[in-house]
Amino acid sequence: MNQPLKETVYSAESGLKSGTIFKEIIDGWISSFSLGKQLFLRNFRSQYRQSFLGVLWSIIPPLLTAGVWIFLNGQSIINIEQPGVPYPAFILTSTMLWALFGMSLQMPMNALQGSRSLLVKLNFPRESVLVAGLLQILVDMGIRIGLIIIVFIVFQVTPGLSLVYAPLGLLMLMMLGFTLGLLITPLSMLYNDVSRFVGAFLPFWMLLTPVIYPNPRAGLGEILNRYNPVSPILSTTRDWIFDNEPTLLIEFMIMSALVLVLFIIGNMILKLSMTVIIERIGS
Amino acid sequence: MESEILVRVEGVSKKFCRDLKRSLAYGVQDLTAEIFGINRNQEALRKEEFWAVKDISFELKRGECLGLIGHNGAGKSTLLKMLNGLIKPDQGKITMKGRVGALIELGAGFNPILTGRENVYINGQILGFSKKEIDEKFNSIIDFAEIGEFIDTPVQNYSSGMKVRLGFAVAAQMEPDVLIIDEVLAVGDSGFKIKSFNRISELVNSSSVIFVSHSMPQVALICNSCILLDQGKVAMGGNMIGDIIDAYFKHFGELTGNGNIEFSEHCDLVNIEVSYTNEIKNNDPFIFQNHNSVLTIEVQLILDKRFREFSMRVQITDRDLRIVALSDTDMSNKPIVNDGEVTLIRMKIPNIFLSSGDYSVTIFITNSEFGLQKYLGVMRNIKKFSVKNHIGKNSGHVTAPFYLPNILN
Repeated sequence: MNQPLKETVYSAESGLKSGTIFKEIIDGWISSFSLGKQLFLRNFRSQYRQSFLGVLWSIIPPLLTAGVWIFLNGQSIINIEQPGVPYPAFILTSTMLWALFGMSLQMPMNALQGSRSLLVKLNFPRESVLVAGLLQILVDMGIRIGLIIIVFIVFQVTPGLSLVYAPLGLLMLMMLGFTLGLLITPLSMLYNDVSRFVGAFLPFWMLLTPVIYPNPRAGLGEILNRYNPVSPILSTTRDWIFDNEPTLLIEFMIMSALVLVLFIIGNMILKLSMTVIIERIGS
Repeated sequence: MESEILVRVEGVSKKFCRDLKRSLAYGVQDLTAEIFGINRNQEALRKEEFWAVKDISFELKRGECLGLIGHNGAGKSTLLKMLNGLIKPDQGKITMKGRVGALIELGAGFNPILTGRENVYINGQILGFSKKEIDEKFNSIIDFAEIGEFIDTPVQNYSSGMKVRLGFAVAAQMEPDVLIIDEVLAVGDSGFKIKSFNRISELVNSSSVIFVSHSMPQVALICNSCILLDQGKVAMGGNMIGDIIDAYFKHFGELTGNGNIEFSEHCDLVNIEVSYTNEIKNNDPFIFQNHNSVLTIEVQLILDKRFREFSMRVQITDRDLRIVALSDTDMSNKPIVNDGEVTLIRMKIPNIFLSSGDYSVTIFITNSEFGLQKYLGVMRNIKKFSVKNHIGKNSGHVTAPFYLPNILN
């Protein structure tokens, strides 16, 4: 009671001017963890309580997707260069990696849009909604990785020592998606064109990325691949998993460094834009 | 310590845009300005913009409660959102000290599929409690909400009243330094209303409260200062709460002159007189000296012939709309017989027990012939009168007999 009370000031000035933005970002994440966990549990429980198959829904869609590609490839309807590992193991791993990116990309705008009614009425650490989303992604990925381990055993795929780097690759893939997601979230909260565009563009983007096929070594595919931010991170991670020599390791490192910088900027933008967004999306 | 200023609002303004498309475009403009730290011209209104809140200033110390009143769209909610830090002012500055709590959306974030227990934890954490704090307070939350064994039932099976009770019970555990309350007391059954009102009165003592309500009696009871907002501006402010509430009602054309007839489908009021008899004569017929005088209310009315009998209730309210006296002809168990002609009813209060102040009379005419009690007419605040006490300043003196039972026996 005797310690001085914390003072909060709201004024028209940009939050940048107060000079405490980085402290606010870090405090925001720290104070969000507990509530974020609780929100995640809320979503998780309510999602599966009204469901018979429950958690199985985390693996049914990827299995179906993989099944489609395995079928198309097996029937030679599409002509895919053989990746050097059993195709089912390859496609399940690749689609898991892509899903990690795609989910991380869409999560910030979906999560904030979904908690809109709370955000406009109550002042609680906004990052908690993102923490809940990230936890959801981690759980989904955990289940998928379990599925992949089973497939690896069945097809007798043995990863090598480079597997120890794979978690770093997974983390960077998630960071890349999440960072891009953070950057587009403010605009997506104002105009739903953004989320529509992302939804329409993602499948197309997946086909442009070496997900269902290995890294292209020549032609237009190779050029596109070089400028696709997802490719180096995704393919390097996959190379680590299958114990291949990573062909885009340098690009991976450059992208990772860039992602870290953009991650900080994305955090700043979100922090600064929250009041403006809430003002415009009203009650 | 007790006199520290917890809330300081200095010249705060906020503009809004009427047109959605334009508003979103301005949003992008403001986003850019905010992100790059550019100072935008906050003085000027852009096209289609207006001041939703304009130049509001006040200060609140601990233990003080400010009522914010005004008709819908006057800017109350916008001001609250700024105080709560949800949106930023376009001009001016708000300084808050200590933990800020908001009783705004009760049960916000309740998930219908989850049980009451699970929702208490989520809602509590959204309001800023730690899990440990909720563990400690869990039992008092359940007790307060009167939920009982339903706590482990999914919230979708709760009645709306139960949901609101649970939401309030969680929020009521807050011990903030600054508390923002937006129209949350109008919920629940009357018993719960009183309970929640008492809880808020407790909170008022230990914090600075900003209280938004459309219930003037509540504002009058709980607040020690008040601001009447009109089109974003302060129309009136200060600690003369009664005057400000009067101004609020005047805005609606209520309580002006001789009040209004709210509803009179089957009856016509011919005349109403309020008078008094006293040995001290006074020239103003509406000012009564309340020492030993008899207050008489005379009502003359014509009622539709279909109704062969009726009852009348007379209600006297003070300027804060608290009911201070109520009398019902039903108390005599005999309805008044109606013959379709003018009926004169005279009611007498033997000695005016009211303390000094302004009062108004509201008349209800009811009929119970056909089973249910039916309102035939409501004449709200139909007559005003003032009472002046020449003995004490603010006390209501009653000439009441005293007994000393022990001596008598």
